[in-house]
Amino acid sequence: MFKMFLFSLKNLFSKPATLPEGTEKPKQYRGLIKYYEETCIYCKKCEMVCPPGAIIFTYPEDGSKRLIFHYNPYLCIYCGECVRACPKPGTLVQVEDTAPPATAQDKPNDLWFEVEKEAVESKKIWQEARRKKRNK
Amino acid sequence: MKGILFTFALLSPIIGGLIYGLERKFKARMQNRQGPPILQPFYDFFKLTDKRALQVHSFHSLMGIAFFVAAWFAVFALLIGPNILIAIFLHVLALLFFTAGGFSVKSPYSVMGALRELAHILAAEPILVFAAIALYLSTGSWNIEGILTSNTVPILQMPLLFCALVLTVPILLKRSPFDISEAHQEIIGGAEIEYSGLFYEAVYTAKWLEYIFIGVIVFLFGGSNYLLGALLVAATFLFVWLLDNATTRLTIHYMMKFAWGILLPLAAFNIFWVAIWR
Amino acid sequence: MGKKFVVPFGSQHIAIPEPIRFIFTTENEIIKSVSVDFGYVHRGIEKACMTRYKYTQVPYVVARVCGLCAVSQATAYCMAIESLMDIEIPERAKYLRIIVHEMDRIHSHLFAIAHLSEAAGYENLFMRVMRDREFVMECLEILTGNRIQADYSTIGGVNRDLTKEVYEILKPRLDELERRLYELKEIFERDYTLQKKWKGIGVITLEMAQKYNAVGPVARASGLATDCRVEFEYLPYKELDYKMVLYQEGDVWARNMVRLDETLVSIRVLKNAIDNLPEGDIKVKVKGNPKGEALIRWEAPRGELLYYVKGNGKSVLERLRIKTPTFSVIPVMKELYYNQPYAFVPDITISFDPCLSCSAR
Repeated sequence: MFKMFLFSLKNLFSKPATLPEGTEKPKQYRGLIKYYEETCIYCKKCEMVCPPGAIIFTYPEDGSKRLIFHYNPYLCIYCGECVRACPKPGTLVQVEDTAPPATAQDKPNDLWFEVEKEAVESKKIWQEARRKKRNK
Repeated sequence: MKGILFTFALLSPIIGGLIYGLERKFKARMQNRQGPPILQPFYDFFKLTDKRALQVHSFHSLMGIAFFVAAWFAVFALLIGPNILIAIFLHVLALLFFTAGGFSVKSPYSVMGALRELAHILAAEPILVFAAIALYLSTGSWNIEGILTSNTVPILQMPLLFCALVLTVPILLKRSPFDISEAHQEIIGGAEIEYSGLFYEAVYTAKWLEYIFIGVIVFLFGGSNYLLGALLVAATFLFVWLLDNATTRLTIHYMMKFAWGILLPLAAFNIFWVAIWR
Repeated sequence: MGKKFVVPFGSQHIAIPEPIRFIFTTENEIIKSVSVDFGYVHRGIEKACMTRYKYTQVPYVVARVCGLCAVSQATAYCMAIESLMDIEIPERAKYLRIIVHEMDRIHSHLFAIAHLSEAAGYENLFMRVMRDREFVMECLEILTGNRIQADYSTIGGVNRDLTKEVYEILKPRLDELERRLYELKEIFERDYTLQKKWKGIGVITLEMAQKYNAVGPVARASGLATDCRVEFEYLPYKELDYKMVLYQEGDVWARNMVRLDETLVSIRVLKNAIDNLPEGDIKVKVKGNPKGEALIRWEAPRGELLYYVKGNGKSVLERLRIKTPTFSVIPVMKELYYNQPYAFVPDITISFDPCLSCSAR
């Protein structure tokens, strides 16, 4: 009891241990994923490996090979599996920021459900377009 | 003299609120963290007046308001009344209003808190009565103006009783090791749990008035030496806050044994010694 | 002869942040009968792992069963799959798994000790222990990239390596933490009001522990010597000088001291592991799908964890079954409450360190 008494008295005259606002995160903190389209070869390994399904590719209508990358920062669990699975290093990079909180006006869920539906539908249209191109 | 005491009693909720804000800041610094701002109790007051008050029944809410009014009346009686012993009994009346409010609801936590509050009253009030008797014995008057202008310094004649009084302050203020009636982790606030909105604000403010009540009684032990009185008040509060941060919570049986077995004999011994030595 | 009160120690309570519900019938504040109810946070994780996730994604799902024993769950699952598919992981990966595992154990035990002090009404000690726990959280953040959900073990090894600069940052922090823990141990052994509050309360005798099958620090505080790190050889604890901690009294104070002493043992094991890391890679490549069944018993911070895995050649598992340590300890908890005053209920409950999100996955 006396030790804690003296400890409290000593703490009264020292600085508090609270970290002030705006302290930076340490290096190599796991955060969001950034995508660079120049080196991507559209193998879709990142989409197969992601545990919560935060990466989805949608297909363009003209049947070309350049797919469109969609990433949901609110579903991501920052595990880094996509970075490790990508065969071309430098395409997917993990940075140190985390996602800011979303409000109801951003509609994060509704927009993502539309992306999921569009991925399924646009794949059929894309496969049709590719078959036509091959038969030509 | 009477004018100063009257204004002090009128402003006592505000001064009590500032002391409570200071206590939270000190407590946070002792635990090595930043605390809330000093004006936090007043921000709480404004927030609580904004909330919608859900009443259980009207008797319960009436007891909440009665607790606050009776406590403020007790402070008035202490500061401008004729007799400080009457002020102590009015203080007991205020606590009994609170206890009656706690018993009138069917919530188990509220009833258990009210039962424990009765144990607090039984343990702490006799020593306050003994303190009033001690002030009479050493200065010769029951009146507050007589004590504040007398020649003798009461603490020099009654040191043991002052120690017993300082150790009773945790029981009155409900701080560790004797915060049993509002044991936050066991019965979640005790008898004050069913109040909400404005009625909770009344109970919250009545607790600030306890600081003023105890502060004035401790100040009187300095007699006409106002500097000594202020020093005693500051030292008492600092000691109680340090003790709050250095002990756990004990049980009711231990509190009763401590108050009636150790503190009361100490106070009684001091009074008999002074009375016989006269 | 007083009136009988029914007091709910309900699923929402200030003292325990866990959703477990007790209904006590008390008479003059002495408890006469108890009824227990849990299962409020059932999320269906086992079913999800059998239908929706591939077996390589399951470590990330299973780590989210519990917040405080996340590393243990993921490591146990990876060990189960590795024993099923006969994969041999490199030595460096084993040492790295021990390092993160022991750090997880330290921060979980410190959290339990702080929580118990707060329930006793001693807020200053709670703040002090949490401040000391920040040292371990910083170490975890630098090594794995996040404070609690480490996402560190995968099938075939670990994800990140311990480089030289990380070693330079970790060493002084661990020394500082060890010094502070020795001071804490002195306070817990000698404080007057804590001993009045905790000694002789909630006693579990050796026969009770054997009859109701207690696991973890609860069993070791009563004298029952059961510890999976000593009984099984999945990770090299014997080389790193690990010794079991046993106390004989079995009350709330003994359970607290078991956790504190285990923290000190963990720091010693951790320092030995960091100083003697063998060279090599940290991962081996995994091909194919699991086929067959495997059973693993491993030591989470709260006791023994059991994983049963069954695969049939597809990339999605056929059956996954988890038995968590708090589930084994609930029958003993229920036995202890009879004829105790109600004032001791939070202390007894929190001294078991319940983790209900594991029990009702």
